[in-house]
Amino acid sequence: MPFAVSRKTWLLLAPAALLLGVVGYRAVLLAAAPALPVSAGAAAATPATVGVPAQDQRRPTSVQLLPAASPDRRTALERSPDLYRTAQQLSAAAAQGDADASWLLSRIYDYCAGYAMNPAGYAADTRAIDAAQLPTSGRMVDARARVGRRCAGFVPGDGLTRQAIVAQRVQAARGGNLAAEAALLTLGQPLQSSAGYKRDLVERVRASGDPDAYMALAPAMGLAASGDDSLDERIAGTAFTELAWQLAACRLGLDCGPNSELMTRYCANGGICSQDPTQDFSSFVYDAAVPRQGTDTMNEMVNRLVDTTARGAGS
Amino acid sequence: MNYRRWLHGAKFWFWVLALVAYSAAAAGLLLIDTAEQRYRGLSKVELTTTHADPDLRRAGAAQVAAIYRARSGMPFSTLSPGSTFQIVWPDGSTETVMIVSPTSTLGAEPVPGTQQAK
Repeated sequence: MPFAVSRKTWLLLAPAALLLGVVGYRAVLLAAAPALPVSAGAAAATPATVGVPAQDQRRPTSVQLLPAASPDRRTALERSPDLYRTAQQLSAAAAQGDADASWLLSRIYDYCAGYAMNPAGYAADTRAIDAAQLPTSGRMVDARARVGRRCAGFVPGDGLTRQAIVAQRVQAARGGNLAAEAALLTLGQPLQSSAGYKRDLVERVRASGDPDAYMALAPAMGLAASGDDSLDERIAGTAFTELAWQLAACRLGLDCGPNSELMTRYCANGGICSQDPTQDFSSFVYDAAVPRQGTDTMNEMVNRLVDTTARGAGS
Repeated sequence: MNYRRWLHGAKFWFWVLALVAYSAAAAGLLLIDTAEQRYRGLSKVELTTTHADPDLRRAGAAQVAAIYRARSGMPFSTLSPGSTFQIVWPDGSTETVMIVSPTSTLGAEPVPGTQQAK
């Protein structure tokens, strides 16, 4: 009889112990995941990837610096049909220490990395996605075709790697580009690892009103910030807070239209596509991600983020 | 007598396994096997193992996650940044990856120390 009792006890305790083990294991994994802060030599570690040397021989072009004003440059980047050429122009400016150019170059690297890794494979994968008949296959194919057209010219030898992206962002962040600094936090490689730095960075982004910085920070303010005491009461910690930061970026002037870079990236890289080709990002989010009863809460969060910008982040 | 003991043991282990499966599901473990038809032909997946270049694993895992989201009814809340899943590469090796950004081609980061050869 004692044996029978023991079995029942096991049946009760085993799943509880297993659950605790799994939760503990996942907690350890999550704690181990963020990489160490970027060392001083990180940017210098990839000098070959900072420029785009290999492509100069393939498609020679007169390299001119883009205008200095950031919003104009950002708009030019978002509308550029030829990111290969834009990257050449920006890399010349970045090599001269232009932090904004480094940030925009890192965005091109990030946008085109999947294509540049294997252009033929990218096209084959697009066909495979089409053949898979997913609910949004058609939209994904369109988005990937758009990426393919804009990134044409890049090849694996151009080195559009994560290391190159991080190197450009470190260079941009050290040069004072706030969006790059936020993006490094999102990548788990903040310039500093202290909780105070993270809080300060969030406040600086809120005070800046820079839509790029809002968008770059958004993933770090979603589920990735869950349980992070340093971000308490800073609109962080859930999937909805991430979307709130992105919607605030749209409200602050980021291009969030139906064929915008944002919508394209979500669809081509994330498989998150609107069924309605005329829908912009805000409509898409409220349509597909926010339950009707949560609309007011979402609006309130976005308003708080945008209002803080207007008043300064001190509140 | 032996049969009854065997049956008793089988019942016991059946319930243990059922509870283990329930517990794992409750803890939110997601496992994606790239041997499935919809993943195995992808260029960034078909030859990838836990020993492959980290960028190839990032891109492969991000692409697998994208297709998984596209099949779900709630793509925004499926595999959102900060969530993890276990991926089984075509050679049977496994690792856990964390979603960093669903908008990035390299937006899935292998978690150090989780790689297991087949």
